[in-house]
Amino acid sequence: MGVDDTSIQPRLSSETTHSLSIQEQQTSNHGGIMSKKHKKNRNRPRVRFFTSDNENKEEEEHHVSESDDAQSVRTINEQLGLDDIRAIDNADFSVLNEPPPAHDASDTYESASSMRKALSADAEQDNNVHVSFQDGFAMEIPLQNLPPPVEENAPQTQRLFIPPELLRIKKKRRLHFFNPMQWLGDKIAAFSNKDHRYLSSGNRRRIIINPESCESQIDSRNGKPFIGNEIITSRYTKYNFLPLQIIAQFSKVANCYFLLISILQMIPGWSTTGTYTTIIPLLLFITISICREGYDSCRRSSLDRVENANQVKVLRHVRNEFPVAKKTLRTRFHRRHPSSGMTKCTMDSKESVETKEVKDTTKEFKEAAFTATEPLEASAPPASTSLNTVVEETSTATVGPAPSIEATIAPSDTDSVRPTVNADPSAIPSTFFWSECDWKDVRVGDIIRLTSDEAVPADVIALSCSSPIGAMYVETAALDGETSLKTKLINSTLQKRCCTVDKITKLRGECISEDPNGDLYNFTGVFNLEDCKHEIPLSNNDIIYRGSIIRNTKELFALVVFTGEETKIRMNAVQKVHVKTPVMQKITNGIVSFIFVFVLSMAIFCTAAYFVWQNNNEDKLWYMFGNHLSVMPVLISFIILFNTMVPISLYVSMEVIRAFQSFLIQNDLDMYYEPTATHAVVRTSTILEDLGQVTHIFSDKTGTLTDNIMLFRHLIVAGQSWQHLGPEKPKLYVPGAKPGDKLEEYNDPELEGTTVQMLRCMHENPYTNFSKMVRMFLLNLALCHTCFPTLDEETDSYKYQTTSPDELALVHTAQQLGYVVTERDVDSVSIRQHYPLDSYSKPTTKSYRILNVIEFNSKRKRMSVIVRMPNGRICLFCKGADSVIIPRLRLNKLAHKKLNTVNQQKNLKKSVEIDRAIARHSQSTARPSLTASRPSMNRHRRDYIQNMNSWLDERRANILGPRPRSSTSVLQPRRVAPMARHSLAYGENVQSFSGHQHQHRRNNSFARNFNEAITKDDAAMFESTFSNLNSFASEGLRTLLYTHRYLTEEEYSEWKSLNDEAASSLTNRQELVEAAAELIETKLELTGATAIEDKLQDGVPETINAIQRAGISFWMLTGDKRETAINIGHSCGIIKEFSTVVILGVRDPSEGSDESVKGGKRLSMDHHNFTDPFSIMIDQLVSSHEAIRLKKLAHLVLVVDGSTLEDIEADEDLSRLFLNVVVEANAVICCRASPMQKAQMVGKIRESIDKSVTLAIGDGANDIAMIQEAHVGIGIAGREGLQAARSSDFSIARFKFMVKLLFCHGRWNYVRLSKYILGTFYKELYFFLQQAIFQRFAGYTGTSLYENWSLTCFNTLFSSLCVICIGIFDKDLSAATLISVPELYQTGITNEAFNWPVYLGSMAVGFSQGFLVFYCAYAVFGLRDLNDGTLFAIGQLLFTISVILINVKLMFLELRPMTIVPFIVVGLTVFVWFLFNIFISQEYSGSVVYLAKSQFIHHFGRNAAWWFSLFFIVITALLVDVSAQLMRRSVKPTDTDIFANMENDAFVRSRFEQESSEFLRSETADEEKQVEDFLAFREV
Amino acid sequence: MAKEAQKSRKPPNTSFRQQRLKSWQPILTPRTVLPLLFVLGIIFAPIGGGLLYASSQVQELVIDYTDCSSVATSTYSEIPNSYVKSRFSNMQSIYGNYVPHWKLISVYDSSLSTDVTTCQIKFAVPVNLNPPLFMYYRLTNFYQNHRRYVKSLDEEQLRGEARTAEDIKGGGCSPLETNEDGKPYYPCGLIANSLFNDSFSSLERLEGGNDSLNEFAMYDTNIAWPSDKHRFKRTQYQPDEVVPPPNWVARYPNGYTVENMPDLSSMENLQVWMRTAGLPTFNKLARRNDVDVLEAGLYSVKIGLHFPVKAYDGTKSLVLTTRSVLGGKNPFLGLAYIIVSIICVILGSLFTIRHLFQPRKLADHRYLTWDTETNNLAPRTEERV
Repeated sequence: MGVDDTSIQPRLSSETTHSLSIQEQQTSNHGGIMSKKHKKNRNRPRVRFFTSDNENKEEEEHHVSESDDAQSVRTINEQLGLDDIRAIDNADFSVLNEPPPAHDASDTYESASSMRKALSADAEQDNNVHVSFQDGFAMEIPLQNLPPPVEENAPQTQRLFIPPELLRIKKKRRLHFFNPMQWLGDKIAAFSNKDHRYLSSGNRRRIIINPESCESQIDSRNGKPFIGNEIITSRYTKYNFLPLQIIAQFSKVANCYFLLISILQMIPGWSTTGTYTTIIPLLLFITISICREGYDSCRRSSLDRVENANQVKVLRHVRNEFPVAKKTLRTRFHRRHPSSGMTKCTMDSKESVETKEVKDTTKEFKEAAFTATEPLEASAPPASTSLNTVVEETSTATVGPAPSIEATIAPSDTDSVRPTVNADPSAIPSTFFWSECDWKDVRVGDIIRLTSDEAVPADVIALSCSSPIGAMYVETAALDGETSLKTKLINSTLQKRCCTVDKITKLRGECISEDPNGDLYNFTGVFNLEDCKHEIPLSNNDIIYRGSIIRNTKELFALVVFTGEETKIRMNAVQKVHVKTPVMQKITNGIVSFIFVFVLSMAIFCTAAYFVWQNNNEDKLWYMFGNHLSVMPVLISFIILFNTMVPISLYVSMEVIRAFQSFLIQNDLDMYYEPTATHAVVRTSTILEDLGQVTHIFSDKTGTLTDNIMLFRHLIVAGQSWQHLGPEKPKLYVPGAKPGDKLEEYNDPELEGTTVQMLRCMHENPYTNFSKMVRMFLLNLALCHTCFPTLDEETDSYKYQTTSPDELALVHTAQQLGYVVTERDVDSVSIRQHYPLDSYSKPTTKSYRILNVIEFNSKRKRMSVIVRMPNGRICLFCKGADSVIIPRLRLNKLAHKKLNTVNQQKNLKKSVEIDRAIARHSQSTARPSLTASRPSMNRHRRDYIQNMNSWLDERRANILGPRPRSSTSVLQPRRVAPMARHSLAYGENVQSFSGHQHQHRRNNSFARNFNEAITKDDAAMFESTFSNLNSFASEGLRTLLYTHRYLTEEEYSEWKSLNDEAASSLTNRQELVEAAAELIETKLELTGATAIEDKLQDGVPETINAIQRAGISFWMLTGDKRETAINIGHSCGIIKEFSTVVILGVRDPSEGSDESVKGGKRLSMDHHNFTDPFSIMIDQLVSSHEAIRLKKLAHLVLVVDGSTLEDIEADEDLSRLFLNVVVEANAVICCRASPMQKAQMVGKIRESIDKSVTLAIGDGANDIAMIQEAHVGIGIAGREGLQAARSSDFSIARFKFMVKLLFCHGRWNYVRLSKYILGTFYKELYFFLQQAIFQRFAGYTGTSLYENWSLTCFNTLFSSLCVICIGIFDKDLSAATLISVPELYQTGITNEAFNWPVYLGSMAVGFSQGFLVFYCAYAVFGLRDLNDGTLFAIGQLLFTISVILINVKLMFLELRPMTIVPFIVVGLTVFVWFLFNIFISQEYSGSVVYLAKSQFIHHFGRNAAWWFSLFFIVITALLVDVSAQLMRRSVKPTDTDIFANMENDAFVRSRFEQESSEFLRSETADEEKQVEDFLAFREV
Repeated sequence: MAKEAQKSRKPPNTSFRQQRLKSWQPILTPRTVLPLLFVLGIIFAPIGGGLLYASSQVQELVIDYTDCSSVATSTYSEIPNSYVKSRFSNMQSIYGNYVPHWKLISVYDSSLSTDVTTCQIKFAVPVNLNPPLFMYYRLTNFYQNHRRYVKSLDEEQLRGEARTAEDIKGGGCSPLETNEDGKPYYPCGLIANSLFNDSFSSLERLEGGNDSLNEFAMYDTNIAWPSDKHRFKRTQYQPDEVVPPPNWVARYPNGYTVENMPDLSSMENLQVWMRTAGLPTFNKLARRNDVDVLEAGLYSVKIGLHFPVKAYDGTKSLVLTTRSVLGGKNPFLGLAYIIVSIICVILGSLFTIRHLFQPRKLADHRYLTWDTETNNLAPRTEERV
C-alpha cells in the first residue's frame, strides 16, 4: 500500500471503509461484551482481506465486486473530471493498517487538508469531514480513522505566505485571580455531574439488538449502563442548590468584601459606626438573590419534568406468564433514581409498585392483550422464515453499501414484502407489548414506535415506516432551523426486515455507531444482523435526531441509539451555560478594587498619622491618662469607617434599577407587536446595559430576518420581465366569482408590466410566438415540481404539499395564472387550464403522463421531468440555477457570450459604485467647515438648517448608497428610506433605483410591439433575460431558469434504457443516475425564468442599515445553502451594491457566484491558480485585508460556509488570519452552520476580540446554543415557537424592534447605569472624604463625624432615590435622535460614558467638592461658633450639605431631561432628611457621643449662622460643579452634548422625529407641534 | 375574563411607561450658565454684606491668658498684643486704645481652703455692651473628640443612678472607672475628670460707668442647655461609696462627704463641659449676664489658674462677647459670601469674553467625533484585536 494513498479519505466509498474498520474492531474486541450467541458466530478470524481463509470466499467475492464498483465509480468520476479520487480502493485497506493518529492540531490540519484536497472537486462536502470541535472535544478520536500525515504530500506545504502581522492576536487582557470560592464551586459542580460524553471508545458504540432482552446495555467507555434519556437543564439539584448558591454568592468579590467588613464590625469596640449596619442588609440582599436563583431553577426543572414525562411507545417484552407480569411490571422505573441512568430490567424488578403505576400498566396490558390475539396467525413462523430468506436473497444481491434509494427501484422484492406491511403493523406477539413509557425511561437499544406529528424522544435509527418505499418526512426545525420537511428514505434492507412488529421482535444482532458527537450533518454506523450476512451501512439519512418531529408518516419503528445528554441536540446545546454578567461589570469590578485599595491605603495612612500624632500630641494629653489605641483597632475602625465607599446599596439599587429598566422595556409600545399580542420580555435583567454596547450581531436568517414565506415576484418570458402582484391585488383567480364578472379594471395602467398584462396580451393574441412561449412557460411551471395537490373543499381551491416553500410559491403562481395542478399520481399530472381574467372562460383539463422525474439535489441544482404531452410528444422540462442551466442550453455559446456582456456591464457598474462609495467616505472627511460670515441670525439659521439637512442625508447615503439629493427642502416630508420599505413587498427595489425600474417600464410599455420581434432574436432575448436576472439576483431574489426540450421517441427510449440501467445499478446508483441525467439535460431551450422572494420581515433592511451605521458588525449565521444566504444578504441590505463579496475557499468563481469575480477584480484575486483550498482562503483573506487597508474596498462581505469554517478552526494560523480579517469585514455571512458552529463562532469572537460584546438573535431551537453563548441573547417570539425566546435574555416579536431595543433602550440603559455607578461612587467618595479630613481634627483616632443613625441611613434614605432615579429616568438623548442617528450608538461601543478617565474626572469633582465643603464648614461655622461647636452640629451641617448637594447635583446637573422627577426626588429627600433630624432631636437620646437630643430643634436648628453656612456651601459646591461641566463642554464636547444641543432646535427635532417614524409610534400631540414649528420657521 | 387578560398584554400608553414624561431640556451652555453666574454674584453680595454687618455688631474681647502664669508679674503689665483680640464697634472712645494689663496674684479660695494663683486681667470696654453678655473660655488643641475621650462617661451615673463598680466597668468610663480600692469614681470617665477648672470672677469695675456699683455680676447659672437638665441628676450614691476622679482630688482632698457631695444637676459648668466639642478648638460658656448693660469703662476679672494647658501645647482664652442673630462674631461667613460673589462675576466675565471671541455653537455636527475621524465606523483591528 503506497503511503501516498493513505492520505486520501474517499468519500464515495466511505461506507466500505466503515464496514471494514468496524469489523476490524470487532475482531479485536470480539471476546468482550458480545453475547455468547454472537461470539459463536464471530469466532473465526476476521481479518478479511489479509487471509486466504476459504471460509471467507464469499466475502472475497464481495471484495472483488466492491472494487469493481469502485472502478466504475472512478470511471464516472473521471468522466466528471474528478481525477483526485484515483487511489480509493487502495486507501480502503491501508487505513486498517494504520494506528489511530494522534489528534493534535497539525495532524488535524494535514489530514484535513489532504482530505480536502482529495475532495475539493466535490462541492457538497457535507459528509466527508469529521467535525473537530473545540478543545473540549479533543479527546474524541476522528470518526473515520484518519491516516497520519505524510511528508510526501507536497502541496500542503506550499501554503501561501501569511503576513505575520495578520497572525497576531492580541491576547485578551484578563486578570486571573485565583478565586478559591469559584474553585470550590466548580469542584462541587463537577462532583455532582460528571460529563462522560466526550469519552472516546476505541470500539464504537455497540448496541445489541434483542427486543427480548430487558437489561440495560453497557456503555463500553466507562463500563456503566448507557446514560439515561432524562434531560436536566436546571443547574442545581435539590441538595447542591444551597451550598452552590452560597458559594456562588460569596465568590463575588463585593459580597466577600461586605462579609469581611460586617465580621470586623461585629468585633466589639472596634467599630465606630455601629455593629449590624453591614451584615443585615448584606444578608437580605444575598437571600433575595438566592431566592431568585431558586425560583429560576425550579422553573427550569419543572420544564424538564414536563419534557421528561412525555410519552412514547416502547417495545417491551414480557417473559413470564401474563398475569404474573401484570403485578410486577413497572414502567416508571426511573422515578426513584432519576439521575442514575441505570435502568433495571422491567420484569426482574421486585420493588413494590405504586398503585398508580399499576393502574397505568393494567391499561396497557389490556391494550396489548387486545392487539395480541389475531396477529399470532399473521406472523406465523413459516411466513417469517420465508420472508427472511427473501431478504437474504436480496441482500446477497445488493452486496455492500446499499444506497438508500435502492428501495425505489427494486419493485419486485418489495412487492413480496408489502402485504405483510399492510397488515396491522401494531399487531405483536403476546409476549411483546407497546409500553407507554416516559421519555426519560427510554434506553439505548429500545425499539420505539412513533406516529405522525410525534416528537422524537432520542436519537433513533429509523427501521421502517408505513410508507411502502420507506420514505418518511421529518421536520428538523429545532435542530437546524429549516422549516421545510426533510425526506428520509429508510434503508431498504431495514425497511424490509422491520416492517412488522413481529419481524422486529425477531431481530437479533447489533448496531454499531459512532460515539456521541454534535455533528448534525454526519452520522456513520452499521447494522449487523445475525441472519443477514452483510452489514447494513448507516448514514445521516438513517438517523432521526431528538427534537425532530415526524410528519406525514403514519407510523415509524426506530431503534434508540443515543439518549439523554448524548443526543445530538443536547450535544449541540451549550452545556455549561455561563452565567451572564454585564460587560460593564469588568470595569466596575476594577473600580471597586481600586476603591478598596484606596480605602485600605486611606485607613493605613490614617493609622500611620495617628501614631505620628500620638508621638507628637497624645502623649502630652494628660487628660487621656495615657490611654492609647493599638494598631488593629485603629486600622480596623478606619476600614469600617471608610468601607461604605463601596456601598452595599450599589448592588441593591442596581437590582431596583434593572427591575425598572426591564419594566420599561416590557412596556414599550414601540416594541409591541399587535398581530401576536407580544411585547418585549426581559428574562435576564442583569445585562440590560450590554444592549447598549453591542459590537457584533449574529443573526439567524429564517424566522428572524425572513418570515419564511416565499413570494413569487417576477417571471421572465421572452426576455421580458413581468411583475407578479400576487393573488391579492388584482384578484386573478377568483374561485367563487360568478360568471360574467368580467374584471374590466385590469386596464389600469398601474398593471403595465405585470403578469396580468402578460395574460391579457397572450389571451388577445393567442397565436403569436410570444403567447406560445408564455404557455410553454406556464406549463413548465405547472409540471416541473414535486408537489401533491389536495382540494380544499371549502374554498374550492387547491392546496399543495411539498417539502420546499419555493416550489409551493411556484405552483401557486401557476395556479393563479391559470394552470391549476389538480391531480398528481405517480405517473401523471392533471392540469386545469383557464383564463383567470375572465371567469367565463371554460376550464379545460389535460392530463400529462410523467415518464421520468430526475430529482433535484444540491449538487445538480436542477430538476427535470420528462412528460408525454397530451398530443403524444415527449418533452423534457428542466428548471434550475442559471449557473447549471446556461451551459446546457442549445445555444450555450451565444448564451455565454451574452452572459459575459451582461456581467461586464454589471461589473463596470459595480466598480463605479465602489469608487463612488470610497470617494464619499474620503470626501466627508475633508469637507471644509462652512461657518464663515453670518449677515443675520435669520440667514444663519437657514444655513444651519440646510447644513444639517444635507449632512443627515449624507450620513445615511454613506451606508445606503446614493439616493436622490433633491429633498433638502424643509417642508418636504421625508420618509425613511422609502425604497427599502416597499421595494421588496411591492415590486422593484427602488434602491437599485431608477435604472432598472425605468428600463422595465419602458420595456413593458413597448412590450406589445416588441413581443414578437424579440422572440425571434435569441441573442436579444438572452441578453435581456440575463440582465433582468442579474438585477433580480442583486435584489436578493431567488432566480430559476426554466427550459424545455422536445425529445424524439428514439432519443427517449435510448436514454430510458440507459437510465433504467443506471437506476437498477446496485452500487453508486446516485452517480450513475446523475450521469445519465447529464446526457438528456442538454440542448435545452430557454423557456423563461422566475424570481422568488424570500419575504423579509418588515423593516429588516432599515434595521440592518441602522445597525451597520452604528458601527456594529453584522453576521448572518444560517443553516441554509450559500446561494440562499447570499440572496438574503442582498435583499436585506447586508450586501450593498457597492459591496465586495468574498466567498471563502471557493476555487472556481463560477462555482460560487459572480460576486467572487467582482471581488476578485478588486482584490487582485483573478488569478485563481491555487488548487489547495487553504491557499485560496489565505489568498482571499490576505488580499481582502490589503484592499481594506488601501481603501480599495467600500464594503466587504465575507461568506463562509460551515465546512470551510471547520477547516479554518482546525488550523491555528488560518484561524488567526481569519479572525484578523473578519473583524475588518463589514458583514459576514455564514451558511450551512450547525447550531454548535454558530455558538462556536459567537464564542470565538467573544473570547478573542477584546472588548467585543456579542449579541445573538434567533427564533428557533437551533439558535439556542448561539443565544446562550453570546453576551446578549435575543429570541424572536415568532412562528417557530418559543424555544429560543425561552432560553434567551430578551425576547422581541420582530427583528426591527432591535432598533428600539438597542439604540434606545440599550443606550439609555448603558448611559443610565454608567451615570448611576458614577453617581454612586461620586457621592460615596465625596461623603467619606469628609470623614477622612475630619480625622485630622480628631487626632486620627477614628471618631466618626456623623452620627451613627444618620450614617446608616445615608445610603438608603438620603441618597438612594437620586441615583436610582438617574438609573431609571435618564434619557440623555431622545428616542428619535438616537434612532435617526445610529452612529450615536458608538458611545456604548467605545464605552464613552463609563471608563477610567470619566470615573477619575467625576472623582476629581467629588474630591474638590469634599475639600471645599469641609474647609468652608470648618472656617465659617465650626471654628467660629460659640454655642454649637459640638460634634453633632458640625456633623449634621456637613451631612445636610451632602444630602442637598448630592441630590441637587445628581438630579439637576446629571439627569438629562428635566421632568417633574428631580423636583420630587430632591424635595422628598430633603424633606425626609429634616424630618429625620426633627425626629432624632425629639426622640433619640441613646447616643453618648453625639447627644442628638433636642439639638436640631433647640440649638443649631435655630442658629442663623448654621443655615447661612449651609446655603453658602451648597451653592459654592454646585458652582464648582457647574463650572467644571461648562469647561468640559465648551472645550471638548462629546457627541452626546452636541446632539443634546441639536435636539433643542425645533427643526432638527422634527426632522429626527420624521426619520425615526419607522420605528417609533407617532405622538399626535407632538406632530401638531412639529407643524407649528415648521410654520413658525417658514415665517421667519 | 380571559379575553381581557389577552387584551391587557398590550402595554398601557402612559407617559411614564413610554418614557415620555413631560420634560424640558436645560443644557449647560455658556448661554444658560452665564446669567446664572451673574445672578448668583448679585444675590451673594448683599447677603455677604448683611452678614458682615451683623457680625460687626457683635462686641468681642478675647484675651489669651495661657502665659499669664509665666509672663505676668505681681503688678499690672501690658498683655502682649498677640494675646489680645479686641473687636469693639467703637474703638474711638476714650478706652479705644487701652491695652489690657495682667498681673499674677494669689487669692485665697474658700472652697479649696487654700491660696490659688490667680491671673487678674484689666481691660477696657470702649462702648456700652448690651445684654446678654457672655463670658466664654476658649481652649485650643484640646481633643474632646478623641475617640476614647468622647465616650468616656457613664450616662446612668450622671443621671443619678448608683452604679456599682461592676456596672461602671461594663460602661464606657474606661480608663477612669474605679480607683485602686475598687470604688467607682464619681463622676467617672475622662471627660468629667478633665473638667475645666479655671475659675472666673465677676467683672470688677475700675473706671467709668454711671451707677455706683463697682461689680458687674456674671452668673454661672443658666449656662448649660436646658436639655442637659434631663441628663444630670442628683446622685443616689452614698458619699462613701464613691471617690472623686483624680483631677478632682484637689477640690475634694478627703473624698466625698455628705456636705460636699457634688450635685451634678446644679453643676452647670460640668454640664457644659460634658457636651463635648467637635473640634480641638472650642468655646465654652462660663458665665453670662442676661440683664445688665455693661457700660463703657475699665474692668478687671480674676481667673483662678488650675487647668494645665501648656502640657499639651494648648492655649486658653477668655472671651467676653455680646451676641447677634448669627451668634458670636463671625466675619468669615459674610466674607465668604462676598468672595464667592466676586468669583462668580469674574468667572462670568471670563466665560463671556471667551464666548465672544471664540464662539462655538454646540449644536454643530462638525464637532462630532465620527465626522472628524475616518468615516468607516466598523471596528478596526488596531483598536479591537
